[in-house]
Amino acid sequence: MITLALSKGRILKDTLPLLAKLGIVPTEDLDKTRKLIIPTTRDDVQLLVVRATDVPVYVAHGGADMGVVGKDVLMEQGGDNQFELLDLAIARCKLMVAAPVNHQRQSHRLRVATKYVNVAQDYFASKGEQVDLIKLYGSMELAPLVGMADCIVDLVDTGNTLKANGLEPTEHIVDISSRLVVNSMAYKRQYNEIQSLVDALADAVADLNKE
Amino acid sequence: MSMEMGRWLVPDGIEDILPKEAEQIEFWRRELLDEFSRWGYDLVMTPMVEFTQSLLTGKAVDLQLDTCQLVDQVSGKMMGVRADMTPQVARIDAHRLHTKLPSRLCYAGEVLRARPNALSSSRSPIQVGAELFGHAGVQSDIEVMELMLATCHRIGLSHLTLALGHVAIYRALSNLLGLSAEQDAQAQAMLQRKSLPEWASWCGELSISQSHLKDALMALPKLCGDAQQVLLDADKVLARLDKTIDASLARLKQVVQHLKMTHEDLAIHLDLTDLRGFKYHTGIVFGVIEPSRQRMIASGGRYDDSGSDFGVARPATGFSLDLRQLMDLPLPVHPKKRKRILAPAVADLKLVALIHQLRHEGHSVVIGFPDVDWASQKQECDMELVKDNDQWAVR
Repeated sequence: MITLALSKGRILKDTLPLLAKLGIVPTEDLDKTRKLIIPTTRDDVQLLVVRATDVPVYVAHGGADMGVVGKDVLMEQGGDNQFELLDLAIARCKLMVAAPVNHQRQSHRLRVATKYVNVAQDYFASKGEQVDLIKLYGSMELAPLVGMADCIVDLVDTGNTLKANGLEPTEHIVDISSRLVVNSMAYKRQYNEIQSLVDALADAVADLNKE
Repeated sequence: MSMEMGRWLVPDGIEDILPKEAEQIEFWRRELLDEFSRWGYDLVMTPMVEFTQSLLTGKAVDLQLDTCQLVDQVSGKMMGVRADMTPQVARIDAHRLHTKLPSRLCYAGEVLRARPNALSSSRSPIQVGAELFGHAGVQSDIEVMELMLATCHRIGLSHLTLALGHVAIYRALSNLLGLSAEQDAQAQAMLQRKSLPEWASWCGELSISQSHLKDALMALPKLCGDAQQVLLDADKVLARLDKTIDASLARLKQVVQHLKMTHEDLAIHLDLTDLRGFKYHTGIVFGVIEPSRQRMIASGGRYDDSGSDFGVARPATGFSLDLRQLMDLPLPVHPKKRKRILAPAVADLKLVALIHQLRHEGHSVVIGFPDVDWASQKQECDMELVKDNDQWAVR
């Protein structure tokens, strides 16, 4: 039995069509079910639907053998004890620095509001810049508007939320998409089983991008 | 938190071991050391603290962050609490034993890690291990792996997977390509995460003129799976690029062939980018994965030139495991507890002699106190010493 952990939200929505190509379809309605472990049409695969930031944790500790999670979460958390085998090319966006249009910095050190404190720290350090980081869990755009921060580091998809709040992207940090991660011990122990799933998923990704 | 509540707390990742588990751990510590002794490994005991300069030798730079350090009040030098006993045992072999022959040493002791391991919260593993110094050939690799497997079987673990790697293959390829220190560090980070999407684009951006070397580098992280199959595949991409790589592959073949002969059912997973302890190891690295917890329960590898910081470079290989981690496994064999006998606190020479004799025979005799409820004391014991017709007898 292989347990696959999926991130709630957009990643889940985009992963299901890929899984369907492998004949893996949840046997419960994911919007309605109260079950936490969800069986699928394949006897050898079951799903967990968890918060995005929890996916690498489930995979690291072997609660799930595999997982689908954004590169942003992996970069922020490190992803111990797991291999990153495949770019699923779904839930694509950019990790960017954004600031109010025509913003003039208010303090001698740049104040950065983000939920990606590690990534932001590394990024500004690589530019030789010392910054003050403010950890937030959501609605980063608000921080510069109320004068709490000079800029934000956040995922940008269409850029509409930024625009609506008078912000503009200023620096591109990295392109983000969802990755397939596998517990490294599970990979070694059940190599054939897991690798055949990985290969099938790679084919499904290629097919989907052709369409 | 009040003073009274805080007083009994221990630091994060540090724990007491209560009688039941302590008995198990001690039982297995003795069993494993006995097993090592049957293979000709001599026990050594290393100090809890040493000067950091001998604890953190050139090869063990990874240990730096894991070592708790303090100032020696006598010499003014930095001391470190051991975070791994292997460098200490290497120091003993290089500097204290003065032998040119192979030496086989084993050890058991608690170590202290400054940072908890990512997966378990323990910072004080009880490390039990065996190291073989002074032999560079494949036979010593095989011996140590066989000993590790024998140890696991002795413990009663089954359905094991042997995880194999060889750090010299990546190292040789990196040298051939002339990767800079920075590129090398980036590559290692990606390989340890086996981040295939990034690896492909990173390799693509490298300016390498020889396409066959580039292909080999690209393919390296995908060379994993059933050992025999991987070795066949590796021949297609890696053969005849470099003498070190050919020798490494040949050695892996010998090891796999041998282990397949001696352990027919053993699953062997080979991963040519398994870079565990890369800075420290120089050759074959190995570990045993236990299925119920999906953890690496024992691991080790070759670390040649181990004693060079102490003046005598010796080839070396060895393995170790953590006894605390063992306690979390469903071990099928349990140590037999001694029978416990309750004796009254009576001044009677015949009784004293009998107690002495019983203890000598290996029984456990506990003196019951007259002012403590007798029935409760009896409940803690299996048997009782009673006087019958002026004779003491066990009932």
